[in-house]
Amino acid sequence: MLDRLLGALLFILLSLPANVSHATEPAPLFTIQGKIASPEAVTVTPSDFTKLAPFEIKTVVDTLGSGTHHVKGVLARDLLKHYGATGTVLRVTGLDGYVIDVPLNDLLQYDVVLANEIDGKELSVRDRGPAWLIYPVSQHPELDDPIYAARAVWQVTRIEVN
Amino acid sequence: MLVHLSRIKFGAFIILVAVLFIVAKNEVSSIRSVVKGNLNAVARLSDATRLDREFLNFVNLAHARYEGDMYVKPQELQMAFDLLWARVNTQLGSSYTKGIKSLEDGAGLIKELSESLKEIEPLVHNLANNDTSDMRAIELLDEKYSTPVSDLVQRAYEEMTNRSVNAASAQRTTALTLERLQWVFLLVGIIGFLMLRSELQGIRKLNEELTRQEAEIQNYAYTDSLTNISNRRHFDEQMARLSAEPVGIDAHLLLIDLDGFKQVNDRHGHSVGDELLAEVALRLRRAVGDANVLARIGGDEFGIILIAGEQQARATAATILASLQRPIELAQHTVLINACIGISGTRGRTACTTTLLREADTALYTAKASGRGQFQFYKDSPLVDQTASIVSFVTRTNRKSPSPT
Repeated sequence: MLDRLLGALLFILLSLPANVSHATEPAPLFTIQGKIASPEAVTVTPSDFTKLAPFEIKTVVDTLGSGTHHVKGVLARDLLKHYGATGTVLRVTGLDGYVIDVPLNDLLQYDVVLANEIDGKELSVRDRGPAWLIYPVSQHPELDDPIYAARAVWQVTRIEVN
Repeated sequence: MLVHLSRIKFGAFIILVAVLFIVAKNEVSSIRSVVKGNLNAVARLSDATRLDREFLNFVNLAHARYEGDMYVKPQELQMAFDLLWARVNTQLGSSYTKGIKSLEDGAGLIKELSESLKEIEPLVHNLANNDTSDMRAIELLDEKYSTPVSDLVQRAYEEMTNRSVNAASAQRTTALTLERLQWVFLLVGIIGFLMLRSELQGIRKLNEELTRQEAEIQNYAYTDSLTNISNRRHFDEQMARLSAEPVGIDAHLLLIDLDGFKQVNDRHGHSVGDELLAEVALRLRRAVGDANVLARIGGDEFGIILIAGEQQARATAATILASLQRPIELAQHTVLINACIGISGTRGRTACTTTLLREADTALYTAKASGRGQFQFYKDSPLVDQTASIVSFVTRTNRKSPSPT
């Protein structure tokens, strides 16, 4: 825990001068709002992801062709914990206007990833990024189901904790 | 022979149940697969509708940009294109059974659309940068795809509607089958029940006998034969159980001493005295209720363990005194007696049997000293202060005593 904390601190210290010199804000991934520690919506950026433990999983991804893929990002439950989420349901919205309610229980029960990288490639909007909610289907065959496929939102732009 | 026959019956019964179970399970799983198929159809309709909308959105934005509408920002156009790109390629990658590809003409259309998007990609980039020199490809995109894409939506919609109708009828049929199976299961259950009934009856009879005997022995051991309420042994055991309870249980101990019992006994004889005690016990039981322990713990002394707070203890004591003060009509005599009650409470402490008894006894002594027909709480007793001062005196002297070293 402590070394992770120190690592994060070190990273922030190292990344600070770089940020200052480039003077550019990293492109936001999505916003998180609702029942979280902050009273206002928080914009989550890729650098916020690096504050959390990285998570990687090898799984088949629905609509990404056959075979398994290296899915990289953070555990969705870690992210929610980081922002002090207290609700039971997440209303996840995609850039294309797709909206679905994802039970928080899913994220506690399974290692659901908020992915921003697949097979070594950072996800663009065309790749259904910048963030994609991916269920560990290969690890849990019961997740190969229309219900979970519908919850695996891509192009995540907004997470509302209810 | 009999045993053999019942074995065959039992085997047949088991097989029947197994077959029914398998049939029921198949029915349930077929419902499930119908529902899953339905969900996929809904997803297809959603995908087709979104594709249609995103296609039109991009084409309209491109047109507007081309016409010189500068309110359409380059990022907006680029985003519309990227969303369309993602939609088409997602469908391209999706498995055959799930996506738009499984619709009639769907697979070919998606493939072509994907190729066309690759072709016009540089144009979109140009358009975003206000280079509108060659927009023909985008015009062609509109001409070529807008009708097929909206047809696709229509097909997805039709498929969805048909499926809904089919699914609804399939579900109805299955529900009917299951309903019928329910009765068969009940029948099988009845046969099984009849087969096992005699054995179960035997066991039940044994159990009843066991319960009866247990109750009898308990009754015998714990009841005061004269008054039919608990005896001293039961009282002591219940007090010990109270002591084992965790801190905080609100309980009160009431000790009741009859006034005038001795006189009745002396004047009319023991049998009348016994009759009087039985009647007193009845009145106490009525005042205390069945839930609390009521025991005859001495000749004319009764004890009550009341699992209740102070207020209820006070009310119960008042009720008891009132009920005992009414004239008692016995077989040949009408007698008047009275009683005093001493009460101690746990008051949030762990109930200690000896402490509670001692305190209730002290309170009873106080009550008697202040006259007939009284109840007294130990905590309100004037003797408490006296006892407390004695204790503190003892503690003080102990402290002041010189140490051995």
